[in-house]
This record gives sequence, C-alpha cells and structure tokens, in this order.
Amino acid sequence: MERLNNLAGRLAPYAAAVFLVVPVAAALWFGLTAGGGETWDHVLQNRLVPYTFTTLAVLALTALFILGIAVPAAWLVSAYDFPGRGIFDWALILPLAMPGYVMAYAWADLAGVAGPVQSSFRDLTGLSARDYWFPDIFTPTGLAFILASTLFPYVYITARAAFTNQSLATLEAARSLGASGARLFLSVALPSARPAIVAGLALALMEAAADFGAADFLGIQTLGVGIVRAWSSFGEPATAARLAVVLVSIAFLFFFITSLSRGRATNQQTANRWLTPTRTRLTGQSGWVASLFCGGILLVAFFLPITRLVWLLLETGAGTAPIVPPLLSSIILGLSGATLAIVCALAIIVGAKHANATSSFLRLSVAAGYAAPGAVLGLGGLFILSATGQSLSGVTAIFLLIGIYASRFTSAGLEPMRAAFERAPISLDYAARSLGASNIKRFTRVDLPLILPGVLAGGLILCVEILKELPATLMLRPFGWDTLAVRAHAYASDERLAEATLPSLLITLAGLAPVLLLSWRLSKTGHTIE
Amino acid sequence: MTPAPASLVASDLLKTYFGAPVVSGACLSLHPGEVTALVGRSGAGKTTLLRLLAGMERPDSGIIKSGDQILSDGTVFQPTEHRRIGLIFQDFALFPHMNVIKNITFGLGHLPKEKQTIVALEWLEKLGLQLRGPAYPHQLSGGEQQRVAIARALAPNPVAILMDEPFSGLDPVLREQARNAALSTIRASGTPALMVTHDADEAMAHADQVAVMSQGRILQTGTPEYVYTHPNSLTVAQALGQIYSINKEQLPTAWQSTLPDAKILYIRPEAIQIDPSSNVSLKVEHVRRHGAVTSITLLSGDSHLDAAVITQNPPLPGETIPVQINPASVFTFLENNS
Repeated sequence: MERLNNLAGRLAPYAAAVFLVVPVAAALWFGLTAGGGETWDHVLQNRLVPYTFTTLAVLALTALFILGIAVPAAWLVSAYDFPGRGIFDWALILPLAMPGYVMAYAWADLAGVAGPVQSSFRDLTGLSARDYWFPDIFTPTGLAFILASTLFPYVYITARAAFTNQSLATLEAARSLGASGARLFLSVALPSARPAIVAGLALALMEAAADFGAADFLGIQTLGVGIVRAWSSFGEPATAARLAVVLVSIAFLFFFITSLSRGRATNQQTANRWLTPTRTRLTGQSGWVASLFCGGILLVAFFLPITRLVWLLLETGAGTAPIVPPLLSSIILGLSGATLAIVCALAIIVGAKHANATSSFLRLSVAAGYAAPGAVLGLGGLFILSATGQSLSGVTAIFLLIGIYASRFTSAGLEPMRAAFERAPISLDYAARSLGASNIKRFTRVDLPLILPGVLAGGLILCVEILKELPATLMLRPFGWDTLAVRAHAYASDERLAEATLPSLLITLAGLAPVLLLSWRLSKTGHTIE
Repeated sequence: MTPAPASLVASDLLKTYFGAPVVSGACLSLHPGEVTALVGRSGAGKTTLLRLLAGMERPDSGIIKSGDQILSDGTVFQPTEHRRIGLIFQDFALFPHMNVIKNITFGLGHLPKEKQTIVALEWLEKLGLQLRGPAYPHQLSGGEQQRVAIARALAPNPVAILMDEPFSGLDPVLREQARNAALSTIRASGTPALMVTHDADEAMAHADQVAVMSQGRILQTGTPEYVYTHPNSLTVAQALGQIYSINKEQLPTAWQSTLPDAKILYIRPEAIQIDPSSNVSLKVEHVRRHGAVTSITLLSGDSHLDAAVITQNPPLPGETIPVQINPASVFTFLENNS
C-alpha cells in the first residue's frame, strides 16, 4: 500500500506534465506530418512567408517601442526623484491589466477619423480630414504600438528591479568615481541591467507573438490570426498546423532567451540587502520633463483608453446586449480551468519535491504550454477532437477547453506556488517525517498550509488569464458558451464598439486584481522602494 | 509508559553515490543520556551518516539498531516517519504556520488532544518557554526557536536525537548559554544524542563522547579527554586541535632522550611552556596574543616551534627564553613516519 502510494506520488507530476504537453504536441505533430490538401507551394507563398514576415516585423517594432518606453521610465523612477515619482513607480505596471484587444478597440476609436483625438486636432487647426496625415492604427506599426502599450510593464518591472537592486553597489562605486547622469546610465547601469531587460523583453515578445485579438481586430495578418483563419475561414487545417509550427518556434525562441537571461540576471544579484539608493532630485524643468514622460506613458497606455471606454459606455447606456450569460460562462470556465491548473501545478511542485526530481522534462512540458500561443493550443485541441472522433459540442468541448486552459496557464499559476514552496526548506519535510507524519499528514498539515497563499494568488492570476483568453476560447467554445472576451471581440469586429465596451471594461477590471497583487508583492520583496 | 532508553548502534554502514563511497564501514554507538559529538572535516561523511541514522537515506549495507529493534539492515528499512528519531536542524525547521504549542504537539498524534497539550506545556516549562506557547516561530529569538526545536524533537520520546550543526545558527553570544541548556535537557531525558559539528572546541567541551570521522569511516571514539590525549592517528589529532610536525633532530638535544623514538614528531602547541628552571633556552621569533592564550614562535635548529602559553608578561621578539617540553603532548604516528 505504502509502495503503491509512493509510486502514485512519483508518477503524479509526470502524468500532469504529459497532460499539459499533449495539446501543443498534437498541434506540432500534425503540422510536421500533415500531408494532403493544399500544395506546399501555395501554403508557403500565400500564407507562411507573408504571415511570418508580418509577425516578425510587428515583433521588431514592438520591441523597439517597448525598449523606448520601459527602459527610460524604469531608469527615471529608480535613479531620480521628481514630482509624482512615488505614484509612477507602481502605476506604470497598470497597463498590464488591459488585454491587447481591449487596448486596440479603445485606440481604434480614439485615433479614428471621427474619434476625439482627430476631431480636436481639426477643431484646433481648422484643417479638414484630407489636409493632414495622421498615423493609422490599422497597420503593423499600429499593432506594435498597441502591443507595446500593454506589454511594456514586463520590461519596466525587470529593468526597475535591476536598476534599484542589482547594480546598487556598482552604481555607488561609479558615482564615487564621478560618473553621473547619462554616463552613469549608459556605461554602468544599462550594461549591468541588460540581462534583466533582455529577459523581460523576451517575455513581452513571447506574449506579443501569442496575440490574436488585437491583430485580428486591426486586420493585420500575423501568424496567430493566420492559424485561426486557416482553420475557420479557409478550412485548411494543414496550413493552420504549419503556421503553428512556425509560431511555436518563434515563441519558444523567446521563451528560451528569457530563461537564459534570467539565469544570468540572478547570477548578478550578489547583495541580499535591499538598500535604498540615493535618488538624485530633479528640480525645475527637468523634473517636469520626467513627470511628463512617465505621465504621458500612463495616459496613452492606460487612462486615455479606459476613460474612452467608460465614456462610450455611459454615452450609449451600456448597449443592449445582455451581459450576464457571457459573464457566467467566463466565471464557470475561469474557476474550473484555474482549479484544474492548480491541481496540475500542485502535482508537479509537491511531487517533484518529494521525488527529489528536478526533471527537465517537467519544466519543459510546463513551459511548452506556457510558451505556446492560445491559437496553437486551440488548434491542438481541435486535432485531438478529430483524432478521437469526437465533435465540438456539449460537455466534451467544455472539458477540452478547460484542459486547454490548464495547459496554457498552469505555468502562470506555478510561479507563485513555487515561490511559496521554496520558502519552506526541505528540512521542514524531514522534521515532519522524523515526527512520524505520513505522506498525507505532511501534505495537509505542512505543505498545503504553507503554499496556500501561493495557491490563492496563483488561482487569482489563472482565473483572470482565462477570462482574458481569446483565440483558444474562440476556436473551442461550444454553442452558448461565449465568454466576455469572445463577446467583446465579436462586437468590436462587427464595429459595434459600444456593445464591446462593457465586457472589455469588466475584463480590464478583473485584470487589475492580479496586477495590483503583483505590485504589492514586488513592493514586499523590495523591488519597489518607498 | 516510557520504555527504558536503549542505545542506538550502527555497524559497518556503507553508502555510495555513483560508485564513490561516502560512508564506508562506519560503526557508532550512541548511549542513553550521553551526547556524542561527530567531528571531522567537511566532506568526511558526517551529514550522510546522520541521514543514514535518521532514515533519510537508505544504506547500501550495514545494520542500524535501537536496542534490540532493527531499524535498518539488508531486509528491513524503516523510513524516517516510523523510526522515532528526533532531528534538530541548523535552521531549526520550525513549521512557520504553527504556533509553538502546535509545533511541539505535531509529533504527538498518538495521544489524545488534552494529553498532547499537557506534554507540550511540560516541555515548554522544562525549557523556560512557559509564556511562548501561543507565539509563532518568527516572533521568537534564535535561542527560543532552538529550544522549541528541541522540545518538539524530544516530546514524542524518540529513541535517539540527531542534531546537524545545531548551534552554528545562533549568535555567538547566545551560543554558550543555549548549548548548555539544550544539552542538559537532552541528557536529562536519557535519550541517546548525536551532534554533528565542525567545531572541535564545541565537541571537546560539551560532548560525553567524541567520534572522529574521516573519509567515510569513524577513526576513533572515546571521551573527549581520552581521544585528545591518545589520538590513534594524525587525522584524529588534527580534528581535535592544533598540532604540527617537526623533525626530531631539530629539537634541543636535552629534550630528545625524553621524547618518543621516531624521526618525525607531532607536537601540540601547549606541550611547550615557559619554565625559568629549564636549562633549554630558545630565541623568540613572533608573539601573538589570542585573548587568554599567547602563541609564541620559537627558533629551534632550522625549524620553528609553536608554543601556546598563558603569561602575564609575553616575551618580545628576539629575546631568548627558557622553555620546557611536556612529552605527554608529543605524539608519533606510524603511518606518517615512512
């Protein structure tokens, strides 16, 4: 019995890992082996090459925008004191709460010909719409701008942490040697924070590559859009699968860059004391320029789009579409998906700890789900359905969708749990065993209470991630199970923006919860300094 | 009902990792009411031996018995949770989410609830922690945490208690006091105890028995006094205190007849003392004071002699001082005289 128990405990993490890796593996396998249907030349010329090129161009532009926004902001906030610094310090994380597609709806409306930005411009100048050039949001550059606006906090967080902690001693040494201002930044702070910045950027680009909603709404033919359309509009599953292979490769590349750089970034962390570096006070004009820069970012990436959505909502009286059914679907799917993901995460963490397994297979399979874009996992889900002869309806589809959510997001929930778990040294486990505690007692009385805060935090993050998820839900939801995200996307794509605002705002509101939690945790671990 | 404490005996324990022996043929007996210190350099296998005794590792071969009960041999292997061996860790490993009482009653599941609390309170009183029952580990000082760890380990009446560097996590100022309180409680409980330490002074001063370990073997076991004064090998002598080698020909001729007959001699610094009645005088090279003891480096022939002396008036470098040697602190070891 005991032996059986132990065996089950040993196998649990691997079972969970296999479960998580199946959808992405299915998509890749079909992509690599798919024959029949369209000729390879057709796929290559009309789909693969242009989509890949567009995706890479969008990613490159996004990277430039993100670096231009996040790195200076992080440096200003960590090295200088200026009006509003204390607020910008944490508020610059807020844009993470907004999914890319919501940002896209809001800015499409804001910056459109009839939108408030261009109208006020015409009112001010007296020009007519034909007399001037205005940046078009429905372009790859526009998409990059949208994605950068929601994803720059990844780099902001890592860069700020690097600037405030890691290079503190180096910064002080450099200051004592007479370096200041730009020279301090360029010759000392930036190079030493580079691994952290690269890690954050790769993570942001991985998310950008996974985007479907914003690109689809703006009509940009990225790989993510291509996969969904190839499946649903053109009926070319083989094409979709081949696009998925390319997209997964891109996403994995960024994932590996993140892991590599993160390793290097932690190596640099030498001091375990959190000292507040002395920030230089920016007075007069330069202080206001700094405030304007940070405030401008916040305005563009958060407050303007939110205000516009709220305005639209109030102006049109919330639209006529019923909100309760999609809200209910979102909550049911979110809770069940989060529960399954937590069970998987627990199996992996607890099982790996007790089996003393630091298996790279475990880590890789969790990462595979995380790095795989939702469109790819949705496709994998569809392949699994057709391979098992099931149809996309009823309970089967719901279970499949929940499984896909777990596969996609287990990793997101894993981190807070692992952090909670790692705070508990292995000696606690031995202490419990030496006091006669069985496997079950150790789990319920020691492991579980210790990781409960992490489980709750992880569960919150998971629920919200599932709430925001669009492409996989779009591909796999059975009839009558539209989530808020699906509704918002459908209305916005139909140019019924007024009706898209309420679901969009609800998603953003829910998104704020984990962002505030993140902000609080960062401030607790000393990454933020007050 | 408490069974009479029995000795914990390990014989011929072998443990290899990837073919390399970490513990090879170790034999050790822990007796009721005695604290045994396990000393040796890092990498000697001390912690692995402790883990074998505790059941955290399974030995490749060898026997571990508590009294007549076999805990581990070729066929039986009792896992940690069934062994009833108390463990005390360097980081104390208190459960951070439980208060002191809950920590102590954790191992008392076999008793009814009220009895658990009574036992816990008894232990708190024995360790002077009466008022700390409801406190959580993070609210306690390091010394208090350690006492809770001891109470937690002793409360279920273990067959032995094993401590891995139990005092090195404490503030040096607290350490002495904490050590005395902890070890006297453990002795009073009659539980056989093992304390892994890298601190020879701690082992010498506080243990009833020391066991010196090197390369996976226990080289010598005995009272601190006996092992210090009768080391059976150079490794043992080095593990317990400073010792240095010198070619016998370099020593003053007057001393040579009183010393063991060997080419190389091993001398503890305290063997050489200032003695005004001595007819041997040596030149002082360096003088360094370490608190109560002053170490003096003397020139003898072409070699240096280190002396550890207690003196109010240390000599100055360059002076010549009368010194005597105590042959009881001069050793010769076969294996190193080839």
